[in-house]
Amino acid sequence: MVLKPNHLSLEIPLFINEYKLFIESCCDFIKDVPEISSDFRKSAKFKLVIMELLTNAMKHSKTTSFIHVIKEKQQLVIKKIDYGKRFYFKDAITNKDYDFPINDFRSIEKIKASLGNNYELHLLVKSNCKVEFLKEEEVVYESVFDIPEHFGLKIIRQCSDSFHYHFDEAQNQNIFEVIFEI
Amino acid sequence: MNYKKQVLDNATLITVNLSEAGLNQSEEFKNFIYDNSSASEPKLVIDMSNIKYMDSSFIGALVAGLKHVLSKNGEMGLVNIQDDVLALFELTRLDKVFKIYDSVEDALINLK
Repeated sequence: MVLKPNHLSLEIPLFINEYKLFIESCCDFIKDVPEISSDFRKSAKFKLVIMELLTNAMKHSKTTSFIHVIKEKQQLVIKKIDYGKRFYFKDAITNKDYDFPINDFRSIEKIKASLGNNYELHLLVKSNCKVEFLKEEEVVYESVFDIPEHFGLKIIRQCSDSFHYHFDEAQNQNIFEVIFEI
Repeated sequence: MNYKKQVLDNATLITVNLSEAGLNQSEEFKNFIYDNSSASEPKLVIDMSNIKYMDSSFIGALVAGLKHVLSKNGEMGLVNIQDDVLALFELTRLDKVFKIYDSVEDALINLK
């Protein structure tokens, strides 16, 4: 664990036995951010984001990852950084594959991304290396059998004020960045 | 034992003995629900009072379990959900999909 006054950095191992230690370390770190720590709903969302980033790391990174919590003037920024598998999805309408960096990126576009097994998300493709996860409108499932069994990225987006994925080509890094406005 | 099963008069009560329900337990839990809903028209009540932290993979296991139970014309109810965990159901809008009750007694009365 690396602790600077406004920056907490935690290494996420490949396998986590207990989430509690990570969640409590992060909650301790934001004790003096009353906009989140003293608001039950916001602190529940903060904990869910940490938990989902940990699960995402164990599920997809297949390598050591890091969580950074950074206190800024108007924002609390949480980053999950790893050097593992890049984020990948398909356009649910055109079936086009998206991998990073996106080869034929021309302009900013909003797409419905499919991650398989009914798991769909709305994304704003901002550059050849960056996408923003968009807040989902009310979803009405016609049948229980249409409900996906994966929700991680959706939960992170619903909990936060903004959520981006950025592929840093130079460092070969995957960066998931979650922002809470304070 | 992470899960305890009790056969009641008209339902099976499953108690989850986990304070953290996450990726490491989700597959095992899904299989436990499948194993306990193999009869026709199964009725399951899942007591979640011990769960303090739950992640999306465990909620995914609950969705898979619900699909399995409904495919056999059964019913599933969730009871004693802590506030932080309930927030997860609300965020995913699954609070509208699952039958959620305050207590086991409540679930047993309301499940047909």
